[in-house]
Amino acid sequence: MKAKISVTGGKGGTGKSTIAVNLATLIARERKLVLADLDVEAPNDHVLLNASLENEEPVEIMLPFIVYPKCTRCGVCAQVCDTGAIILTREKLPFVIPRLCSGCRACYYACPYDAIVEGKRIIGYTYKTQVKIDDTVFTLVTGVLREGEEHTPPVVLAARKRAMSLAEDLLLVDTSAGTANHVSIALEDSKLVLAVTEPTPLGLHDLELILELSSTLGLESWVIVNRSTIGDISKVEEVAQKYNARIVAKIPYSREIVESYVKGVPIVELYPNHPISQSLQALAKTVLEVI
Amino acid sequence: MVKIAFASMNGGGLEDVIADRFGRAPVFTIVELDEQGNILNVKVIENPGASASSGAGVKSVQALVNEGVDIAVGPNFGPNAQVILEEMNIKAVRIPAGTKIADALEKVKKEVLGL
Ligand code: SF4
Ligand code: SF4
Repeated sequence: MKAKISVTGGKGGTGKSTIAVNLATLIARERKLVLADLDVEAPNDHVLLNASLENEEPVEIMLPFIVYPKCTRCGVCAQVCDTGAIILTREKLPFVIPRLCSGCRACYYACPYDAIVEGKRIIGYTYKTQVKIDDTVFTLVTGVLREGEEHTPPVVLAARKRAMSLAEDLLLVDTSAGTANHVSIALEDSKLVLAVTEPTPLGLHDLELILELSSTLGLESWVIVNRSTIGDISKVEEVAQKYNARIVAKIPYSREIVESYVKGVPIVELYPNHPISQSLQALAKTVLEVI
Repeated sequence: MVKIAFASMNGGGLEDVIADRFGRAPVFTIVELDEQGNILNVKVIENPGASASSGAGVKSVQALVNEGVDIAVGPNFGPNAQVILEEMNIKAVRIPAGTKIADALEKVKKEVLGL
């Protein structure tokens, strides 16, 4: 892999995925690209691209099994488990609650009587899809957390690893929203972070958090303002300035974007001459110049 | 003999009221009854789940298991707590938040224990 670019954004529909799939389409015309959808709790790049999830691989984590004949009911395993995944019954027998277990192995190492053996549990899947839009081809890697699961990082890591192993040239990552631990994992080692925001109070708040995180990680950030016409853009400029991030694109609200969702075709492909497509083309060009 | 734990809003005790959430209730009021329904003992324990960052429900249930509780009373139970209470043979009883513990106790005596 030669370089990694990340698209990230605040909570709830800032248009992060739209930017990601459109940039992917444009960049893939020039360079070999892998797009990684690491928004594993709600991946939707494949929906926007009308692509199916293929080549499934399970993501497994360790699940402790108690060998009851060996267990002395000392309770050490429950003490060391900080997710609360082990409960002791009235008879002091340990009982594992799989859904809460993060697979950290602390109990396995701590048990003084070797009464815990390693099992496995599937918490999600990764997928690899060849996306073809006209003559443009790129690989989409998607991570999906199983419904009801709470431990996101292992799935993000597995999808990231799969994407990196496939990326010979460029890797474009679509992270999940917010600034949780697993977002940092997704952002790590990026040459460039594209922070997508909206000119609303909530959007501004999230933008600050993201720019803060990205500067903590020592990454260069650019800001993209989506639905730029719905609010006061000068506030976004202030925040961007504070973190030395430049605003590289302003995407106005438009009906054609909605149409591109419905059709599952990126707007740059559907309406190449639309003002939004033109701003995205300019953005892709700038990104490619930097990389 | 039966032990009933009430998720309690403030300091606990029969005059306190049911908390807003089971796993996050600050304390549990534990009432011990004899076969006839007479109160043998009332005690208040901290809820370790109240401050837990994850697995709150489980930590609460663990505290109740340690106390030998038979019935847990709260306004609602998270999905984890629900399943684990069942596994641990503790009956979950729903009584709305804000109900006085003394009234909730009468309700449990009548409707659950048939006293
Ligand atoms: S592996 Fe970690 S999280 Fe799972 S039960 Fe053991 S200590 Fe708890
Ligand atoms: S640490 Fe080992 S021996 Fe002790 S209760 Fe847990 S499983 Fe049993």
